[in-house]
Amino acid sequence: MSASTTGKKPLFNRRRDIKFFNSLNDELLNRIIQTPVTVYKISTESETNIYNEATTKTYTKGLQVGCLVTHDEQVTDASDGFGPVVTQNITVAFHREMIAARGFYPEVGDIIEWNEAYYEINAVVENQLVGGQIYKNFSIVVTANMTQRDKLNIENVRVGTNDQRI
Amino acid sequence: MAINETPERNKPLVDSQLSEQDRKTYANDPSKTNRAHQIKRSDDEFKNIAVNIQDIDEAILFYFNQVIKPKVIENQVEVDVPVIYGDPESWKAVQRDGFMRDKKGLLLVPVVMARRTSISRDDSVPVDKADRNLVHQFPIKWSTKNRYDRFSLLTGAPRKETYEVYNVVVPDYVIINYDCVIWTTFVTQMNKIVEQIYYSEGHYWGDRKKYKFSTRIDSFDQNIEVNTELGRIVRSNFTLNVRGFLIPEVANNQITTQKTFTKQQVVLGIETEVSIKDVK
Repeated sequence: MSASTTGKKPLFNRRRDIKFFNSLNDELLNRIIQTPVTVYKISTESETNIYNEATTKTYTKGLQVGCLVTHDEQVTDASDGFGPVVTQNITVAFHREMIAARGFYPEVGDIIEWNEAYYEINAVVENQLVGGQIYKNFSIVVTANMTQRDKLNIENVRVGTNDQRI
Repeated sequence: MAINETPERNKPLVDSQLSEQDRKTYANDPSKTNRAHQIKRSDDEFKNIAVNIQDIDEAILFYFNQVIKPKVIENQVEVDVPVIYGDPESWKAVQRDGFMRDKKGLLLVPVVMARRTSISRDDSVPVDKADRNLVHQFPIKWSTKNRYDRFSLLTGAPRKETYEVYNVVVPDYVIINYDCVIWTTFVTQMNKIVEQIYYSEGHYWGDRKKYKFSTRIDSFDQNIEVNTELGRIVRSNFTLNVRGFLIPEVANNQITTQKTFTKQQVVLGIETEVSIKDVK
């Protein structure tokens, strides 16, 4: 039951509480945990071909934000004949209020740079409702898979020697 | 092709199969070695002819990397597409071929992989496997044994020359299949690589200084996979059909390239200058 339907002030999860949660999480993410990621938001102006793929993508300038990163272990699979191929999935939880203040919203296809690797967001979950109230959505949790940096057009990967891989 | 008079490459017959005549031959009597068969090969310039499976694999990879040289455009830059033999050892794939991976071990695509999956008999070229005496003969006309010498000068070269002949066994004609996978990021890159490879289909693949083999590709299977581990990948599988031939250097404990000499002859003629009637 929300405040607007009864006209009475709610006892719990009031604006003051939410503000308290926000300040607490802001401090927690940015000053205590300190695991920032850099997010590159893909530009929808990138030209696509008939296969619906953009061979040269453009991104917004990387935005560094504090978050909670949960990562799977790297999995190495050599069964398809190309030698060891490494995959890794991560889950990144953003504080909604914090990223909203920076004018940023993660979507499927955006790139996250973390731990010297790039991850492509493949799912976005927004289900952390404070008190179950839909207008008090608290976090944005995205899952992302490690992606080949050669297709991103963020950095030049075709340079260096074997022992100086980038 | 000729019938070898001395079936050197035959497997030794078991004793029960030997005739009385066989038992008397030189080959079956170690104390009576036929020295005609003891031909020195150490100063030969003629190398033993051998075509092994690795030669065919190398020919295919050579043609991929040196002749087809697949290229794609990546981020507005032309990039060579590496072609590798499938299932490399881990250290080789990660450490020596590090250019194919980023520092996190993620494969940089596009990449082409080929691996041999089967070897089968080529029935379109019948070979009588039961008769291993069939050989290809390669005669070398000049031989040190035919040197011009004083005897030749005196006699007006009445000798019939000898030829060095190298007898090489008839190859085993085989069809070798390679499963190849093209892995790219974009369909446009895949199109380019398929076009380049398909253009060479039907040609003879290999190094012109070594061996070349007829090839055939029937079809390219193409699919786009989207999964949560690797994201969106574009792959194409095709089977490369190679018609090759195999000649082992040593078979049945004998070298398959045997050296022989044709028979030399000294022709003696009779010339008379005085008739018997004039002899008194």
